[in-house]
Amino acid sequence: MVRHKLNKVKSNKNNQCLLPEKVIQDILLRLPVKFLTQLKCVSKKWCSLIRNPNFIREHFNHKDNQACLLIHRHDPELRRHISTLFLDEDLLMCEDPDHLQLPNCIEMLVGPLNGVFGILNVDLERVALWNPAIREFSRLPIANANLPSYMKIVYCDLSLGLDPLTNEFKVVSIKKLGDKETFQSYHPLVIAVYSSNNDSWRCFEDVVLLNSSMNVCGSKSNNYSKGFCYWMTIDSKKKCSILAFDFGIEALKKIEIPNCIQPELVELALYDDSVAMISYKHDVEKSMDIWVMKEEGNWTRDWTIGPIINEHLFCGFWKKNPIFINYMSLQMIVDDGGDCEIPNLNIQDHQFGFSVCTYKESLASVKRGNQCDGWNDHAIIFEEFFQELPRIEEEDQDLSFLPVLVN
Amino acid sequence: MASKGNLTLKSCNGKEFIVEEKVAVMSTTIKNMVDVDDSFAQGVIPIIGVDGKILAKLIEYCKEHAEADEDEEVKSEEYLKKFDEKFVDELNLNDLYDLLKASNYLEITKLLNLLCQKVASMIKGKKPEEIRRIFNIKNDFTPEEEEEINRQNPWAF
Repeated sequence: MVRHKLNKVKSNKNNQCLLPEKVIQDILLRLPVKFLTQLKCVSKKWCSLIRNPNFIREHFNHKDNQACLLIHRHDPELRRHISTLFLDEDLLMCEDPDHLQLPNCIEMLVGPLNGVFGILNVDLERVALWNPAIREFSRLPIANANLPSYMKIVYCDLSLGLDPLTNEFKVVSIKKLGDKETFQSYHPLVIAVYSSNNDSWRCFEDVVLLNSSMNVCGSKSNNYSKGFCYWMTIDSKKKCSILAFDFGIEALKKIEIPNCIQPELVELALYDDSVAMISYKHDVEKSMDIWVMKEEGNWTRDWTIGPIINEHLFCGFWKKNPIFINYMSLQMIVDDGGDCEIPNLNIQDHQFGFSVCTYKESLASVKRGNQCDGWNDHAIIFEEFFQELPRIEEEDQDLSFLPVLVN
Repeated sequence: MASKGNLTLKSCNGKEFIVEEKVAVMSTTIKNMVDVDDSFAQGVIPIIGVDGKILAKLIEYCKEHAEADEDEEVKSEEYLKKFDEKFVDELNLNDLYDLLKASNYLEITKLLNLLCQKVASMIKGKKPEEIRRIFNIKNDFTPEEEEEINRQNPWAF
């Protein structure tokens, strides 16, 4: 039918596009990432438009770019990670798309932030940025090239953020260093910030806010919002607080949390784009409070959910509804306090490494500086990143008698 | 001359349309003209580059939506959705483009969105050559450059 209509188009002698540029842009904003990638070869103008950062941002935020629930889990039977994407808002249809699957040897997957994930290799050293929608995978330089030979990284936590001025990706890692033999932790922890702008890491310490007497944990999915990312810290006196990293000035600050929150029963998450604490309570029955920080240091208890079954473990939010994993199923608590089961996942057993996040496709490139790799190079980089590094020094060691990590 | 509360719009080929102000000001461009210069509200507003046929179509669309904004009961959301669907389905490609250009110039946001959506779903899945033909775009890449661009994203094809 369209073809029939096409023949009727007035011939245009000026070789000019039939529509103004602004209208063309408005049309392209509504198209999916994969199709837009094909359309880069239409003309030079279209190619530069589809690569334009403003266009990319508008496209990402366009209402037609649907947000989907993405679940990462480890399948104990298949012995591998599975990423499952829900195709509709009501969570009725899902699939495990090839381009969202990852090899096993990842320590941490953070994000997504603007469609991009940060990946930490099990060696706790190698970090990569990954935009699965455009099949881009970019390995970052190593942060701690000058690590003394007797030291190794015993713990690392990663976060993804944006430079508030340039809107380019930044990565921040918190590393705990320890003696290779005894695993004894060194004081203080090392904070390293990677900027896409200059493609390098800046390492620094903050002895007051971050030292080896503290436990640090991030959230289960993206923990970046409005220029900050957040971690929860528990100090040696079991005092719990939040550590915020300001991506603008690249510095940490401490945020107090309400006193009634017990440190051993709490999780950090983003709720409606604000930082939130998910706090379990064990009275007669188990229940859960969602504390939200709308302004800095100003906490309100937004929601109390309960009673919940003891085995329920919080995984994250879909829209504003918390999702829990129970032994065999995934449950979502809906607004009226009732719950509904998310079907189709075929969960075999209680699974670890389970996380849920909201995923939207993005055209944002993660290629570094003058890196100009085609698809083949991309595949090689991807494969190499996940190859295990040879561990020469540790080969002959029996590690079983070593003390547990000092936290 | 239009009576109070009405405006007169004149197409580029001289056709005049008397429309209610609430219908005309769905166009941000017309609204700004009327707000800034009172003489437009009294006299005739020339709609440059839009012919009578297209202007009539624009007015038909704006009339339905202005009435719906005023009284949701008479023209429900459901009714508007059906109206919109029928409105875009009945357009041939020339009219679709002319309406797009006119609603862009006149800043009729709702209609612009509807028409862009229509074109987006119309071109979805089409090959780059077809897209070039649909929009009359000249391919200014050399064959080598085009191949190089596509080589970077073989997964997309």
